[in-house]
Formats: sequence, structure tokens, C-alpha cells
Amino acid sequence: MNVTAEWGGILMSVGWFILIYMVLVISFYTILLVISLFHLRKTYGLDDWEPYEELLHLHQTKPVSILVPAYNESVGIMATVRSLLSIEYPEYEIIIINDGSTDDSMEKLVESFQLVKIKWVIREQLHTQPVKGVYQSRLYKNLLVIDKENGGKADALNAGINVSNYPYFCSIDGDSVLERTAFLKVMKPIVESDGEVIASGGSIRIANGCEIESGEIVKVGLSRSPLVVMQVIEYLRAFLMGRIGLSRHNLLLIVSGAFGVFSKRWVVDAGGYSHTVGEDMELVVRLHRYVKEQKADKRIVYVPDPVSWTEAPESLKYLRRQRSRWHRGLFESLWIHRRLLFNPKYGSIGMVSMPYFLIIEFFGPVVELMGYVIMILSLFLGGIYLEFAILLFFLSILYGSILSMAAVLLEEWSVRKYPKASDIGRLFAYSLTETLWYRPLTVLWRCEGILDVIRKKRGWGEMARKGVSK
Amino acid sequence: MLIKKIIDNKNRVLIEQYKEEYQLALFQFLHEGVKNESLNDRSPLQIRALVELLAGFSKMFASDDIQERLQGFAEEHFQTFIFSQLRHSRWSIRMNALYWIQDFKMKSMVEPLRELHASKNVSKAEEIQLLKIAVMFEEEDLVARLIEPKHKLTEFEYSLLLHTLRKEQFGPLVHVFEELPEVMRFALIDSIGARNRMEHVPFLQRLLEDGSTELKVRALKAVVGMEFYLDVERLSVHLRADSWQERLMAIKACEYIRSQQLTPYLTELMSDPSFYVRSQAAQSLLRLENGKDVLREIAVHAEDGYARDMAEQWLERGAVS
Repeated sequence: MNVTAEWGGILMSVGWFILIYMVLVISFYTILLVISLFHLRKTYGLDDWEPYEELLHLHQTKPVSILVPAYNESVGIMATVRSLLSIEYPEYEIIIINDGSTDDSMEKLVESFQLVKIKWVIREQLHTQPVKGVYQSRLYKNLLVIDKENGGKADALNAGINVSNYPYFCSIDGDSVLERTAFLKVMKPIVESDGEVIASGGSIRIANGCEIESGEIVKVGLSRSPLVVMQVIEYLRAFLMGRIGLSRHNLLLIVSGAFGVFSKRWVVDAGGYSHTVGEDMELVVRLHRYVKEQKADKRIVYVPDPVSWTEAPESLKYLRRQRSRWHRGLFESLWIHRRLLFNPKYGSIGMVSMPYFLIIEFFGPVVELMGYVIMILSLFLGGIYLEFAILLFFLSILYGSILSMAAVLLEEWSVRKYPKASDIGRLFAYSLTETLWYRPLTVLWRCEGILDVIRKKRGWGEMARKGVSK
Repeated sequence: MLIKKIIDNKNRVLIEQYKEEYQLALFQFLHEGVKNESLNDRSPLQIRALVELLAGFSKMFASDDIQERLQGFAEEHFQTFIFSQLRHSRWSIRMNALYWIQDFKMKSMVEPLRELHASKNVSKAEEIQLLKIAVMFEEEDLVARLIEPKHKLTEFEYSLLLHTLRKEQFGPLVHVFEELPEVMRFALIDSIGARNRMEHVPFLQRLLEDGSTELKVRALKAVVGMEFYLDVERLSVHLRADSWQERLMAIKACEYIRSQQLTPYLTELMSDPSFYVRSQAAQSLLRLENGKDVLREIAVHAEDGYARDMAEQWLERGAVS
């Protein structure tokens, strides 16, 4: 096949652009990897209990309100509540927010925990959809349930904040299972810093494949489904590699909605959760923004150890929906706070974090997609283009597979959550195949998210849950 | 990597086995002082198993006899091992060694600990752990080391250290109160309350009279912690203070005083501008003998809608919990 010189020139320019972009991105990730490696290695093997024991007995350990927004979470909600009732923490309350569920979540809760409707003065610091009633459990004094009209996850969380009694709150998803000591660990930086740390996020791991009984992880295992295994690797990469590096320099823009603790005062002052599909990221960006505007010296940190286990989608259909939604959420946060981009007034958040999320996280899939197209085209065009395609292919192997493999190594060298050697072997083997199938898929889904932004698509889309607990 | 994991997993199984084997013999030794031959084994994995076992036991028994035997056993068997761990290049290994030294109260380690503290690269977490051990051993230069630490300590970190102080160690610090860093002052007041140091009540009372607002709030909090009785006349000053935090703490101090004299103050505070104060006032009223009647009266007749709502809420909440 012959190509015109003009067409060849365009192809080469795009190719060079992608090449330079990927080299930059790989360099950035490698820096994050090195920072994480040093940090995780330093703490590897540290006694699991001694550093936290005192927190259990000191009254300086601040009480926490745990907010669990629930919309049709009938399958998973009971396990979540049970896991929360058994956490090790001196003082906490659990607030389930039934966000107008149409299933039997509310009935199940009322029956299982002997809920009684009580008069509750709601301090409406954040505006929400009307609350139909506040219930308190007869069995557990610290368990409250808010029954409200449907308003979305952000609205539910804001209602929870209004009802909460304590100075710190934690938002967790209705299908999550927390490790017993997760709260002590995630609260440690907040307590130790005398409040300089205003938000702290823990790690999220995938529960599919683990044995969970009555809301407690009995045995950590790895799912047989390749799609789930790839997500496990992806989470390791995102949490162990990305967030440690960013957190070290107060550059963190995401405290995952599935498990994070926030100072109520700062969140209320910053305006609470907003109605976006990526409300967790949006809140963190707003907090950073608010802190900078107030000229306060506050930090948002990530703690690698405390783990919340959550159910990952097992089918392509739901995974696709989740990924395009996440990408839409990323866009919304970046768009709402576009003023921060390259704005030196906002320090490293404006000059490093926001550009990182825009250039690498948001536009990354577009550039990657272009790379795949060039690779395929080059197969037909031959000659110099083929060599170029091979170069791009090796870079994408480095970008996808090798960095993911490094994340698995990080896990094994530091956190060691997977006890079986065979599980680590499988994670390792799967990570090598990432570039060949999983990464192109996620790239397509994320690009679909960009199209959804252009098409102005809204809402979450339905999500099927099997429930992770026995 | 996989081979290492397989070996590590096997070693862990072995350590657990050793722990099971040694458990009874070690327990008997600690309890009765009868030493079993089997406890003299010295392979690295066996020592590791013994260290882990002993660390577990150290938290279970408080008796002096047992603690003494435990300390003696650690000094005899673990010195070389723990010393090597203390010199390890990895931070986590050094920290674990410091935890063990604290658990086993190993006095023989005082010198190596001083060396570690003097080293340039000692991390903040290590310094705190070293200070905790210094508090435990009541070292002479303790006050100086606390006042001028190598890393800037937060109030919480000072609290951690001060909570373990003995009665006699508090006195010198209270004496030099004015010279202490601000966060250390707060932590000291807090510890007096948390550890119920009644001998320092006059000091707290002095702070309540002429301390700054923040010091007054802290002193009230300590009074609450000690469940110390402040007379109504004294409390009334704080119940009408400008700062809502001071009013809130004063209400908390009312909770142990079931005096009818408090009713008018608490009733007035049911209309306080602060939500937290209103809520706390309702809780305190609920504890008074005729509190429920007062709350019912407020719920029905109060002019202030916020007070009515709050009274109703606590009448119901009190009934559930």
C-alpha cells in the first residue's frame, strides 16, 4: 500500500507526539514508583498492632461518625453493618442513609437491628432532600438509620453529615467490608497531627475471591476470573504506586469514596459533597482549594495499610459502565475546578496535581487510543512505520505491563496481603498480559466516558451486586 | 521472589509451631519460676518465636513477680538478637526492637538506646519510642529531653508520653509549667485529668481563675475527666462564659453534680446560640432528678423553637438508649 508523503508526515508527527508523551508519563510513574518503594520498604515488617494499641485507650482519639449511603444495597448492607459493628475503635457511631431505596433495605434494617423511629433535631448545615425519619437501634446504641427521599450519593452523605454527632466522619460504600483495625490506622495521622491532617484515605482491595463471613474477612484469596484479577492489579497500581507518591507531597486529589475519613468542620465549610458522579474526588479538590484560599496549613494524606474490601464488577458490561462513569467523574472535577489548572496561586495542587490529572489521567486514554490506531495502521503501511509501531508497542508494554508488574512486586515486598505464593504468581503472570487485552479495553471505556461528557450523559447507571459476604 | 515467599511462608509455619511448643513451658516459667530445658534452644526462628510469645505475655500479666521474670528472661536470651535488630538499617526492624525493649523493660539496653537517640538520623517515631522508654526508666535528663526534643512534637504525642508518667514525675513538670512549649502545657493538663492526679487540683483551679480561655477549657476538661466536684457558684462563671467551648465544658462538668441549683442555668443554655451547647445542656438536664419534667416543660412551653426541638429529641433519645 502506498501512502502520500503528506499522510506519512502526519502519521510520523502524531507518532512522535505519542512517543514523547509516553516517555514523559512513564518517567512520572517511575518517579512515583521509586518514592513508593522507599516508603513501603521502610515500613515493611513493622509490628501490626504495637503502633496503634495506644490509640484504643487514649481519649484524644477522636470519635468518628461512619456514614454508609445505601441505595438498593439490600444484598450487601447487612454484611457492611456487621463488619462496622465489630471494628476496633474507642468511640464511633454508624449512620446508614437509606437514600429512597426501592428494594427491601429499610425493612431488613428495621427488623434486624430493632430500629425505632425517634425525634431528631437535624442541624441542616448542608442542604439535602427531605429526611423522612431518623431511627435508632435498640440493640446497638451507636447505630442510626436515616430514611430520606432519593437524592443521590452526595445528597445522602450530606444528610449523614447533618445528623452526625462527631467531629470526624468516614464515608464508606454499602458493599464494603472493613478490616477490624482499619479505623485506628486511618485515624492515626489525623490524631497525631493535632488536626493538621484534615482527611485521610485508606486502601481499597477487591473482595471477590476472599472468604468473608458475617462481615469479616476470614481468608484473603484471588478470584478465578481474569477480569477481576486484572482489576486487583489495577487497584494495587493505583493505591500502592500512585497515591503514596502523591500523598508524600500533599498532592493527593482522590480519597476514595469507598473508605476515607474527613474533618467535618472543613468539609462543611467547603460546602459538603456536590452532585457529581465523582463526588469523592470533587470534594477533595474543593478541600484543597478551600485550604489554599484560607491560607491554612492543612494536609490530605493516604495511608497504605488500612484496607476496605469491596466487590468488583465481574462482567464486561458493568465494568465498562463503571470505568466510563469514573472518567466522566474525573472530567467533572477537573471542569468545576478548572480555575486551579496551572494557577500558581494554588501552589503544587494547581501546578502539579491538576495538570497531572488532566494530562495523564484524563487525556491519557485518548493518546493511548491514538497509539493503538497508529500501531494497527503501521502494520499495513510497513517500512519505517512498522519499526515505529514496534517501538510504540514496547513502550506500551513498559507503560502497562511492566509498571503493573512492579505494583505486584510492591505488594509482595511490603503489604503482603496475599498469603499464597500461587496467588502472587498468578498476579504476576496476569500483569504481564495487561497491555495485550485489558489496557486497550479500559482505554476504550474511558474514551467512551469522554464521549459521554460530550453527549452530556448524566447519572450512574445500574450496577449488579452479588454480595461478597456469606 | 516466589521462592522467597515460599520460604517465608514455611518459616512462618515453623515459628507458629515453635510458639505452640514453647507456650506452656514459658507460661509455667513466668508463673512459677520453674525453668524448662526446652526454652534454651537458640536457632534464629526459635528465638523469634520466643520473642513473639513473650511480647504477648508481657501485656497479659501485671504482677511484679511475673514482670520481673519476664524481664530477666528477655535480658538472658534476647540481648544479642534485639541489639542486632536495633542496629538494622531498616526503620521498621528498629521500631520493632524498640517495642520489645519497652515490653520487656530491658534495662541492659539503656546505653545502645542513648546511642540511637544521639544519632543524627533518628526518626520522629523512633524518638517518641525512645522517650517513652526514658519515661519508663525514669531517666534523669527526662524533663530536658521532653522540653527540647529533636523533632517538634504535637499535643497528641506529648499526651502519649505524659500519660505514662508516675505520680512523682508530674510535680517537676507542673512546677515549670510556664516554661513548657504550649502543646506540652495542654497535654500536661490533659494528663492530670486522665490520670486522676487529684494532688494537682489546686493547680487546675488556679488556671480556671486566671488562665487564658484555651487553658480554662482544658482545665475544665481535666476536671470533667477526674469527675471532680466544682461548686455551682464557680461553675456558673464558666456556664456564662463568652466562649462556647468553655460553656460546653462547664455543662459537662455539671453532669456529676445532681444539684437542683443547676436547673436555671441549664434551662437558659437550652436556648444557647451553639447547637452543641444546647444538645449538651439537654443531656445534662436529663441526668437531674427532675430533669425529665424540666425537659417536658421546655418541649411544650419554651418560646425558643430550637430549645423545644432539642428537649423533645433528648426525651426520646434518652428513652431509647
